Amino acid sequence: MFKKGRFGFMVVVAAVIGVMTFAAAVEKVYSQELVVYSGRGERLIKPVLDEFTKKTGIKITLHSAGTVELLNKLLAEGDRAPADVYLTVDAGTLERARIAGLLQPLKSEIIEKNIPREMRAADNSWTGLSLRMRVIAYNPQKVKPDEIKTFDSLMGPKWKGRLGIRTGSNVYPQSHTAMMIAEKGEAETEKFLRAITANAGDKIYPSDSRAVEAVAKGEVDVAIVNHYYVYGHLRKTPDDSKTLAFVVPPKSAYNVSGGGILKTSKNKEAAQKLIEFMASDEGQAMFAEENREYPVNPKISAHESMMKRDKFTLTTVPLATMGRYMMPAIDLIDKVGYR
Amino acid sequence: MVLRLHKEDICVKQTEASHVLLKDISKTFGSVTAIPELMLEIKKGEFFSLLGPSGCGKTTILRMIAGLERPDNGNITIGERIVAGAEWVPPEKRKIGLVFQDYALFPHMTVFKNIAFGLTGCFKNELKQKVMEMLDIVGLAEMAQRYPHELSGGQQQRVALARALAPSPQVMLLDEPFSNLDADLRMELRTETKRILKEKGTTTILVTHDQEEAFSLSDRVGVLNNGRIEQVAMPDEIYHRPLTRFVAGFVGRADFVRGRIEGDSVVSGIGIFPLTGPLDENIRHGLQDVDIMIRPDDVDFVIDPKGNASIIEAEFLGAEIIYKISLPDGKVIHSIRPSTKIFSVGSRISITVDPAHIVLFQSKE
Amino acid sequence: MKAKFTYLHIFAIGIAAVVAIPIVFTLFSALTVEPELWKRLYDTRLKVILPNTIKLLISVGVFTLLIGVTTAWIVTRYDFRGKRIWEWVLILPLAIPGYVLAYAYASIMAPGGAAQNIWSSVFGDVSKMPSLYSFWGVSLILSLVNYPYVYLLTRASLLNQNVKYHEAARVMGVPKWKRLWSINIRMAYPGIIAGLALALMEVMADFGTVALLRYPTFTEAIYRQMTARFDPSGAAALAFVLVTITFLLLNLERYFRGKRSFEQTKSGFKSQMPKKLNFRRTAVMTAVILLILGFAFFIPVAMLMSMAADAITKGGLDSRFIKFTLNTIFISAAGATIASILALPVAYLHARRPGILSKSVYYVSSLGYSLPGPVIAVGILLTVAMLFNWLYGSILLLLMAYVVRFMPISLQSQDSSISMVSRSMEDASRTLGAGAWKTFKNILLPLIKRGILAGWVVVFVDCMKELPATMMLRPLAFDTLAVRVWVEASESLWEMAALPALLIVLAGLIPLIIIIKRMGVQNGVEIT
Repeated sequence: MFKKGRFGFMVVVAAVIGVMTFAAAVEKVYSQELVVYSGRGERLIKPVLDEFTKKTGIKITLHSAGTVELLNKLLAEGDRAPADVYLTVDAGTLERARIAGLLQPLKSEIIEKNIPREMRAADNSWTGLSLRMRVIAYNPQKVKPDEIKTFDSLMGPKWKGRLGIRTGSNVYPQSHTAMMIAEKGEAETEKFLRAITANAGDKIYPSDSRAVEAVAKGEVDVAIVNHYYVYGHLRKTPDDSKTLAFVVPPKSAYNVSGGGILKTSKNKEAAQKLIEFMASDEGQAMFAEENREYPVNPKISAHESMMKRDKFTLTTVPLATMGRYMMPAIDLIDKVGYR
Repeated sequence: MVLRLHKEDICVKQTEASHVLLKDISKTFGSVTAIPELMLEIKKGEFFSLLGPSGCGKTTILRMIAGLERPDNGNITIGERIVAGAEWVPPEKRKIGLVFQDYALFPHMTVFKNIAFGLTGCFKNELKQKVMEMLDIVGLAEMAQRYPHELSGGQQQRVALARALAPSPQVMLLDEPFSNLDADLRMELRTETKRILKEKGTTTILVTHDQEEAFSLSDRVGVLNNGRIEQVAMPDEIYHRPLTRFVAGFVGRADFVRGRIEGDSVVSGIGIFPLTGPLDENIRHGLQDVDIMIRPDDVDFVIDPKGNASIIEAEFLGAEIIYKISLPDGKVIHSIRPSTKIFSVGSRISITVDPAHIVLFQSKE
Repeated sequence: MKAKFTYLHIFAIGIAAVVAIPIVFTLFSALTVEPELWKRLYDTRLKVILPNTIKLLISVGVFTLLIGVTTAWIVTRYDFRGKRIWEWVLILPLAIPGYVLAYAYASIMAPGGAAQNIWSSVFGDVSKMPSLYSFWGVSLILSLVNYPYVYLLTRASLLNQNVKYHEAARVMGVPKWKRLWSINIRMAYPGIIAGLALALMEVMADFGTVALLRYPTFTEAIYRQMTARFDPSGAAALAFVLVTITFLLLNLERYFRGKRSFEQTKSGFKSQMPKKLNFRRTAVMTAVILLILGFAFFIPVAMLMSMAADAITKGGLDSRFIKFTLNTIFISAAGATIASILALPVAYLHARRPGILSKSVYYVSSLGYSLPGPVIAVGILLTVAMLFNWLYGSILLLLMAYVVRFMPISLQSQDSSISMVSRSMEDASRTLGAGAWKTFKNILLPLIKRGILAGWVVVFVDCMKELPATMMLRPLAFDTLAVRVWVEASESLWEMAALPALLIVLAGLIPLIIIIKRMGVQNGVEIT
C-alpha cells in the first residue's frame, strides 16, 4: 500500500509532530502586556480595550471564549494561569470565581464611587460593568401585556406550547434561577422551573436571539430573554415591532457583565487601570451602549432608544447573594431535567 | 457355483410389503449426473443398507428420501403416499428420522431440548415423559441437562439417534452415523442401534461405505456404483454371489483367474470345476473363456515340494494370515488361513479351491 | 517457551500505563467521593440519567435488532436483483456519527423546515408533529446510526451457518417458524449479540446526539459536571457508574450464554441456499431496504449536500473553514500516528511472546475502547490536575485521549496481521543470522504494513469524528470539524454546520471501504 521508505518517513513525521506539540504546550506568554480572558462577545469588548490601549499604551492580549469555559480553565490552570483580568457576562460566575479564591480584592475609589454596592463584590474582587434585565418578550398581536405581569404568570397551562425559553446549560437562566432561589427558596423555584419547562416543551432555544426571533416570527407567543436581544432584533428588522415587544416584570431579575483581577496577575496595577477605565464615565458609556445595556453607574444615561431607568424596578437581592446560589441553581436545573 | 455370464435386470416391483419406493429417480447437479436412473424398494420394518464408495450417490439418495433434495425425475413413495415426483411433500411433513454423520446436534440446546425439539404439539408432561423415555432407551438419562459439547462422541451419537427417534418416524435414515467413532465403540453402538431400531420395528436405511457395517446390520444391502444400483440382496448373497465384478471387488477381497469352459467343466490354473446350474445360450455357442472369482477364504493349500504354486508374501493379521500365492502363469491370488499354523514365505504348495463359492464372469477379452 | 523479559516489555508496560493511569485516577477519585456528594449526585443527576440511559439502551436495542436482523436476513436468505449492492450499501450509515444525523434531522424538522411543510400540507396542524427532541427522537437517531453493527455481524453469522442444522430440524418435522427462530436466529445468536453489544456500547458512549437533542444521559451529565461546575470528582463518580454499567452489560451476555456452545460442526460445510425471489417480492424487499436506508442515509446526506452547496455559494469555504479542516487533519493524523506506533510493541509482544505479562499489557491497553470519550477526558483531566498541572490546555492532552480511546483499534489490526504472518519466516531470518531488530524491520514490518495502515486509517477517521473528549480537552479556540458541527448545530445555525458535517461523513466512508473489501473476500467480518 505504501512504498519502501515511507514508513520511516511516517516515524519522522510523528516525531516532529510530537516535538511541535510539546513546544506549543510549554510556550507561555510572560510579557508585560495584560492578558484578558473574556467571556463577553469580542465585537463588544474589542473597541473598549483598543480605546484603553490608545489611552495608556498598555497592550492587551485578548482570549475570548465562553464565560464558564474560561472559569474552568482558570480553575484548572491554578497558579499557572497567564491571565490578568477575567471578564464575564454573568455575576454568578464571577462570584463563583471569588469563592474559589481566584480573584484579587481591590481598593478603588473610582469603583466604589461609580458602581452601586449591590452590583459588585463586597471586597470589590469583582465589579459589575453593564446591566441587563431578564424580561418577557411577547407578541403584541397575540398577548396582552397584563397577561404577563410577572414571571410566575408564565406557569399557567394556557402557555403550553406558546412559551420559549433558553437552554438550561446557559448562565442566563442559571443566574435567573439562582436569583429566584435567593428570593423565594428552592421549593418554589423548582415548581416554577417544572412549570415553564413543561410549557416550553421542545421550544427550547440555544440562544436568546433565537428565542426573540421565534417570538417575532410567531413560533411562540412569549419568551424569557435578556432585554437587549429584543432591542438588537428590532434594530436589524424594525418591521418586527408589530410582533415583538417586551415587559419588565416589577422587581425584575437582573444581571451584570463584569470583571475582576486575578490573583495570578503579574501586573495588578495595569489590571486595576483597566477595570477602573471600564468603570469610568467614558468606559461605562462605551461598554454598555453598543449592546443596548444599561451602564451600572446610574448617573450615566442609557442609549436614547432605550426604556428609561425610572420605568422599571430591580429586585433588591444583591448580585453577590445571587452568586452564592449558582451551584444550587445548576443542581436544580439538572434535577428537573431542564436542558 | 454362480454363473454371471449375462446381464441380469434388477427388477423392482412394488409389493404389499414395500415401504419406501424409488421409481425412475434421476438427479443431476449442474452438469454432473449423480443418479442416472434408479429403482429401489425398501420393505416395511427392514434394515436396509446402501453401500458404496464415496461419491457414488448414496447420500444423495438418502437426502432425496428425506426431502432435502428434489429428484429431477421419477417418484418417491413412502407408505401409501407419493412424497416426491407427482406430488411434493416437504421434509418436515414426511415423518422421517435422520441421523447425520456428524450428528448435527444443536450446540446451543441441552440434550433434553435437542430431543424435545422435534416433539411438536405435545403437552409438557407428555413431552418430558417422552424425552426421558428416549434417553432411557439410549442409556443417557442422567445427561439430559448437559450440552452436546460436554458429551463424548459415542454419547453424542446416541443423543442424535434418540433425537431422530423421538417423533416416532416411519422411516429412519442413518448417514454414516458410526464413521466418527473409534473401532471398539463403533461395534458396540452398531449392535445397540440395531437392537433399538428392531425393537421399534422402524424401517431403516443406512448409508455406509463400510461393507462390514452393512453386512453386520442389514437385512438387505444395495450396492451402489456411480449412481447405479449394482445389486440388491441379503448380505451373504452379496458376498458370495456378487452380481458384478464391482460388487465382487467392493465387498471383500476377490481374485480373478482366467478359465475356460470345456464341456461340462471349467478348466483353470487352480483346478477343474464341474459346471453346475443352468447354462446360458451364449456359452453353448462358443463363449468359452471366463474369469473365475475366488475369495481368499475359499483357497486352501498344503505344503508340497512338487506343487506348482509358491508363497511369496505373508501378512500377519492376528487371528489370521493372508498369504500371497504365485501361480505358475505368474498370476497372484490370496488365501486367508488361521494363524494357528504358519507357513513360511517361499514354500512350494499345492492349492485347492472350494467350488461352492466361485463365481464365473464373462472374460474381459 | 518461557517469555524472556526484555526492554520491549518495559516499553509495553509503559504504554499500558498511559492507558491505565487515567482509569486508575478516575476510579480512585470516584471511590473517595464523599457520601454527601453521592447523595447530591443521586438527587440531581442519577435519578434522571439512570432511567434515561436504561430506557435508551432498551429501545435502541430493540430497534437495532429489528432493523439489523431483518436486513441481514433479507440479504442472506433471499436472492434478488440488486442484492449485491444493498449488501454493502446497508453499512453506509456507519459513516455518519450520531450527532451529524441528529443535526441533519434537527435541521429538516426545524420550524419552517422541509418536515414541517410536508406535515402541514398532509395533516395540517404543525404543533401536532412529533418532536425530535424527545426520547423517541433520540432512540430513532441512535438506532439508525448503529443498526449496521447488528446487520454486519448477524449477516456474517447467518452466512456461516451450516445448513445441516436446519435440515436436521426440518426432517424432525419442525414447522417453519420454529425452525427460523430456534435454529437460524438462535444459532446466529453470537453474531447478533456481538452486534448488539457494539451498538449499545456506542449508545452509552454517545455524547453528541443526546446533548444536541437535550436528552440527558451519563455522557452528557459527565460533560456538564466538568463544564458547568468544574467538578472532577463528581464527574469521576458519574463516570464510575457508567463504566460499571458498561462492564455489567458486557458480562450479562456471558451470563446468559451460560454453558451453551455455538461452535458448529465444520465437516461438510454448506450454507443455506438463498431463495430466489420473484418480481413482486423483489420489489417488497427493495422497498424495505430503501425505507431504512432512506432514513438512515440518503435523506440526511442529501440534506447535508444541499445545505453544503448553499453554504459554498455563500462563501462558506473561507479561511476559517480551512483552518478547522487543517486543525482536524493535523490532530487526527497525529493521534493515529502515535496510536499506531505505540500499539506496535504491545501487539508484537502479544502475538509473538505469549505470556501472562504480554496478555495483561494487551488487555489493559485495549481498555480504552469500551470507555466513552467523556470518561477518558475526565480521567486525563484528573491525572493532569494531580501530576502534570503545567500540561493543562495543551494539545498533548487531546492526543492522549485519542490514543487511550483508539489505540485498541491499531492494536487489534496489528495483532491480527502479525498472527497471520507465519512465525517460521522470522525463525528463518534469525537462523540466517539476522538479529531481532533486523528481522523485525526487514521481515515482519514489511509484511504487516497493510495491517498497520488499515488501523491508522480507522483511527484517523475516528479521531476526526470524536466529539466529547475533544470538546473537553481541546486548547482554547482549537476547533475541529466535529466541534464546529456541534457548536453550530446547537446554536441552530444549520447551514454553518453543513460543510464540516459533510466532510466528516465523507471521511467516514473511507474505513467502510476497508470493511466492504473484507466482506467480499470472506463472509465473516470483524469490526474493529
